[in-house]
Amino acid sequence: MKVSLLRTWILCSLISATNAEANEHPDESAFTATYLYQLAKFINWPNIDPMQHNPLYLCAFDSDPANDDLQKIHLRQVQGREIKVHYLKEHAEFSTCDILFLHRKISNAFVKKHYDSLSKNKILTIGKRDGFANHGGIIQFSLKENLLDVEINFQAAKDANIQINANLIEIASKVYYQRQS
Amino acid sequence: MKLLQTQTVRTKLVIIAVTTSTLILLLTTAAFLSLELYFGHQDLNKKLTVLGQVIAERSTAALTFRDERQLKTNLLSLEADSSVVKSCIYDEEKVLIASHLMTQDRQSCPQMMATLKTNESPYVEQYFPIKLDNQIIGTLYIACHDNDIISRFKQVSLFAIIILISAVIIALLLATKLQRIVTSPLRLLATTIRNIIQRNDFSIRANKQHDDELGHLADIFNELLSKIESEHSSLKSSEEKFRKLTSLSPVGIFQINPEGEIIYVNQRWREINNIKHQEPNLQAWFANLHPDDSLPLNKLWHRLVTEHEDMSSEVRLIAKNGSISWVYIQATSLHSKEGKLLGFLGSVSDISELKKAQIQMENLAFYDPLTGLANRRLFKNRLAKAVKSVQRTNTSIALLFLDLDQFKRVNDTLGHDIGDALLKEIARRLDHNVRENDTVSRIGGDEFTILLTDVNNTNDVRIVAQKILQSLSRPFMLNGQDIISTVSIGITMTPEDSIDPNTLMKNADLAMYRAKELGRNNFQFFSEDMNTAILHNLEIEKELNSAIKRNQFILMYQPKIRIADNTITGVETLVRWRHPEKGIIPPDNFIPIAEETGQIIKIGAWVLEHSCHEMGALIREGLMPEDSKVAVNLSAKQFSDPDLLKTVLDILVQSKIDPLNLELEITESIIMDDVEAAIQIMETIKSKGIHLAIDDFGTGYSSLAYLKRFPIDVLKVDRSFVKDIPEDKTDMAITSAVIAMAHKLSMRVVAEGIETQEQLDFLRDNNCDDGQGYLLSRPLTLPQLHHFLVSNQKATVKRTLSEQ
Repeated sequence: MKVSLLRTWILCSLISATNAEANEHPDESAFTATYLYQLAKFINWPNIDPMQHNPLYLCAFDSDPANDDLQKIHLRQVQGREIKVHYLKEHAEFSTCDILFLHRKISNAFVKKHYDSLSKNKILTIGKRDGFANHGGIIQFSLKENLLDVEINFQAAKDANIQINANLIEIASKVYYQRQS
Repeated sequence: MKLLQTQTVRTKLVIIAVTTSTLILLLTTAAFLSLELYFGHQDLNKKLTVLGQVIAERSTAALTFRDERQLKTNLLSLEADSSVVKSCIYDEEKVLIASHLMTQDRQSCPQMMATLKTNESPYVEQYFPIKLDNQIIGTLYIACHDNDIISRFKQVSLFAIIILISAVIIALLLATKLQRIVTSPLRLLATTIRNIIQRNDFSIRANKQHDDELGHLADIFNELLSKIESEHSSLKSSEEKFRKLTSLSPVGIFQINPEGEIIYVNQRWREINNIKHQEPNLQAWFANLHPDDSLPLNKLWHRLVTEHEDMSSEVRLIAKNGSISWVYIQATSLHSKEGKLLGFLGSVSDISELKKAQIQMENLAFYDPLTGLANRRLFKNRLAKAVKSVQRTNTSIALLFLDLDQFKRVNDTLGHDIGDALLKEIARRLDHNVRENDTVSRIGGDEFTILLTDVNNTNDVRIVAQKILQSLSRPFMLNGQDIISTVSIGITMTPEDSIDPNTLMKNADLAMYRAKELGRNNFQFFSEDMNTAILHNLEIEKELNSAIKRNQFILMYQPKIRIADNTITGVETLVRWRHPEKGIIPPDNFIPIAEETGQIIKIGAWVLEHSCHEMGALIREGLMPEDSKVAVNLSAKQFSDPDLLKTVLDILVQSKIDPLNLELEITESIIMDDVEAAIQIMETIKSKGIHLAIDDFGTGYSSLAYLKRFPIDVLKVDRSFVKDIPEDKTDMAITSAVIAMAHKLSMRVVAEGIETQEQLDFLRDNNCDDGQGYLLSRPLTLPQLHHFLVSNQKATVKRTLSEQ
């Protein structure tokens, strides 16, 4: 059952290849949450006392079309910490976030602009827009030819004190070592 | 194993050494190889684990994000290890995501993990879970071949085999060389033992080469040899001792082996059995036995051989020349310490001389050495047999008891040699007068018996007795002298008189005494009266005992008168027995019996005591003159009683009379019985002042030679001579002569039995001193004597007065 589902998904992905840039295929957005969740697992989150309730705040903007899907990973655990999905207004305070997801429609200028604050607050920035990583986003992911493509800005991660699992870095198609280009 | 046991020590040692080393090496090699294999696999697994874990760890992201290219790259890195055959990565659905095959494997990674045929595959396989955040997101499967391990194992095995073979060869060579260390000393020891056996020399000792167990064995062996040597030498000296002893032994010694063959005899044995040089043979020896002794000895020998029971026996051997010798044979069985039979040992002694002496002694036991007649023992045997036989047959047997008359006198007067010669001659004459079947025996000094068998009637016996009397009455010519000896014979018959041997002997004895009583030199047949007489005597004896106790005796006194002047010179005491039933019993009726039983001593002492006592009283009263005497008769028994003098002296003291007031009368025959002894006794009595009188003179056998030696004061002429005065001129002549002779010998004479005046006158005329008799006075009781004495005194006074 699951196998056929996967096949279906792949097929659909192939068919909607052309819409990769501008529009997200509705299936892709469904899997964004999953990717986010999985990517979160490749971050070495700091060791917190598990007795204390210390959720991982995953922030996403209101305008994110995948917000409904994001609920899927609400309260799911990563390294013993519950993910709490939090929706932000565009210009709202994001310092309490652990992970800030920037959907495709958000310009890369955001991350550039708020780079210091983001670094200071040790926020893992994950985006899907092209050039996200190049512009200071820590992890950029997208589907290319139905395969996940990951780009990592190593410097940004370093600045934000975010430790990324080596295995993820290994599968990254690009790894940037400068803060911003 | 049996095969091994049959091999030499050398071979065994080599086999053991080689087998041991081979086994050890095999074991070691096998273990080593197994370990090799095991550790090889261990290492492979470890390596595989490491590889797998690393790849799994590295593939988390690639698997999560389905980066197949990355996954493949990861799997490719496994190529570095040549043992990896294939690797497969499955997702959490166990669906194959990536795989890599190193070789053209027939079986590539299956799409579904479940279909992986594990455990059946020839590969070493492992599964590695790929985990992300403690969750399994996939599985890595790696399969390796163990070809490298196997190939290395093979190499090592080959090497090991080469080493093993080399080691076995080396072990073989070394063992072959080194076994000598053990076998050489053993061979040496064996050689030494063989030497000892061959040379029979126990002084040889084994060489100790080393101070190990074999050296210790040599030491122990030498110790054993020393022990054997010393025992051997003591055995040898023991054997030597035995040989010496047996060769010198006065007894024949023989030794027989368990099989019954004579293996040794000494010189003496040869001499006894007269076998000088031949081989002694047991069967041949048995063949020489007297037929009567053969069977008993064979029985004993059989028991010795089968039950090992010691045996001894006296047997006769018959020599080739027919002579018989007596031997005493003893034999015993010999056993080892463990009880095994070693043989038999025995001795043979020549006892022919001993036997001869034995027979002689037996003869002595049954025959009188002097006369050669049967002795008492043999006689008793024959009598007992004869008595028994008489009960079976219908004949009678006569037993004759013969007692020589006056033999003692002959022996004393003529000497023992003549006495013996007399006995021999008597024996010869007796033997001559009886038949073959009759037995003449000498049962005592001068006592003989004759057993007449097969007698029909008493007349036959009478004839024989008469013949004997006649034969013996002929003088015996001995040592140039003619000797007369007569015999008194008592005869009894069986079964007529008795069928008990003891009773028969008693009967014959009684009859013989009767013959003596009737004057000797005659024979008397036993009759019941004699028995009666015996019973009567026994009764008297019993009553006498009672009489002594109850004082039933009374004394009578017969005055002795001086014939010249009719004065009393004394009294003779006569004892009477006042029997409570029978009245007064005269002395003749009980004195002889008392004499025989010895009761006379007590009676005599009583008589003596009372006589002296009463005499003492009479003298003190003045009724009897101070020099008067009380005469008491002594019997033979009293005379020979050793306490006589003491008794007499005690009585004299008690009754307060002087010894010269006592006169002891002893008959001539008593004195003549043993003259020398009598003279001594008389002299002893006389020395105390007591007077002695010889009674019944003329009736004994004294000679004048003796008479002059008798220390006596008074001679009493027997009544038999006085009785026939004046009729018998001879008696008168004798009496007259006796009186004269006595006076010449300074003896007083008393005549007994004066009953007539003529007798008295005659005696007076012949100067007889004193007289006794019914004419003068009969025996008086004490009161009567009193009266008599008083009257006599008065008469004397009257006479004296009238003479004046």
